[in-house]
Amino acid sequence: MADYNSPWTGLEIDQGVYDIGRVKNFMCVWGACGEENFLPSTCVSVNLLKKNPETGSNLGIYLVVYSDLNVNLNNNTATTNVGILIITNESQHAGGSSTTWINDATGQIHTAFVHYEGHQFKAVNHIQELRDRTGNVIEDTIKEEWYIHSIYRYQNLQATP
Amino acid sequence: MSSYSSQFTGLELEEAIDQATKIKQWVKVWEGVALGSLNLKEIKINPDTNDRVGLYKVIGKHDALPLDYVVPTNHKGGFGAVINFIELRSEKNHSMGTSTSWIAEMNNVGITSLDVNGIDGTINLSWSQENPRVLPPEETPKFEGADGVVRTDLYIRELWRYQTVQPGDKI
Repeated sequence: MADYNSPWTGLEIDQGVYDIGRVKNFMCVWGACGEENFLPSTCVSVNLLKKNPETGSNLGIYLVVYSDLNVNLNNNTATTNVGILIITNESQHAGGSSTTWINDATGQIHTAFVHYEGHQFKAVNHIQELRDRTGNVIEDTIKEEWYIHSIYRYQNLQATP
Repeated sequence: MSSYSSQFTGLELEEAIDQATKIKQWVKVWEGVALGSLNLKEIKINPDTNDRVGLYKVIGKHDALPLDYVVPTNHKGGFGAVINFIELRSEKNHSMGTSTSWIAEMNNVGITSLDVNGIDGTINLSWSQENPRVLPPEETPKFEGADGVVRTDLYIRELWRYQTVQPGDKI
């Protein structure tokens, strides 16, 4: 054990240790978490998540990584999407951020998003067509279930499971 | 050298140092002016993963002028900076980021979308404001930049990646 003459006082070091414990990061609480060969799911029950040890609950801000395919995301046919949502009450619905694009060839509007409903995380893609200029009704909505690969929660570092 | 009786054990102190090295923040990994798309090869390697995967914060703008300078456009109110997020799990795969969408006048649809695709991977940032089923192309409102050029692409201005901080990183 070596002696070290720190530029910080003991009080400052203790404060630093305490402050580090308060830092929040996005921590993986369900899914692949960077590992390969994890089976994604179209819906994930909140009961499957690791609880935040600091709060003892699953409330918080989430990043959800999802895809149109149930394959490993290293597979070059998969499309990765990310959505952000916040759960303030486990019994209530929460909507996540969406990704919207237009298919140039068909003119269809696609909206993919994650949401929380019935105690489950879900990823969906809605495909919608509108009316054309001459009044022909081409409105139609198709709903596709997409696959959730990983769920991250923004929480205290020392609360890491 | 003075002594101090810490409220933490030696193990807790070591754990704190270990945790400190794992703290992730938004680190600026690219800054410049790229119209429409940017090849991932131009972006710094992520030392955590030794590649360029990760969560990105992408900042774009309608023109190449400073981010805080907003000039009027032919779109009501003009445009300032745009921010969206994208997660890259592989440099090969297609990924889609969050988008900024709105319904404009005359029933056309304005959409800002982020996109990554191609074998070598590029990040694209573009307006996708046309819906060909609603308005013919000649009647679709265009976005005119401060330089008077009509375009459908946005300038990519900054890329930030969520990763551990290394000496010299801009956070």
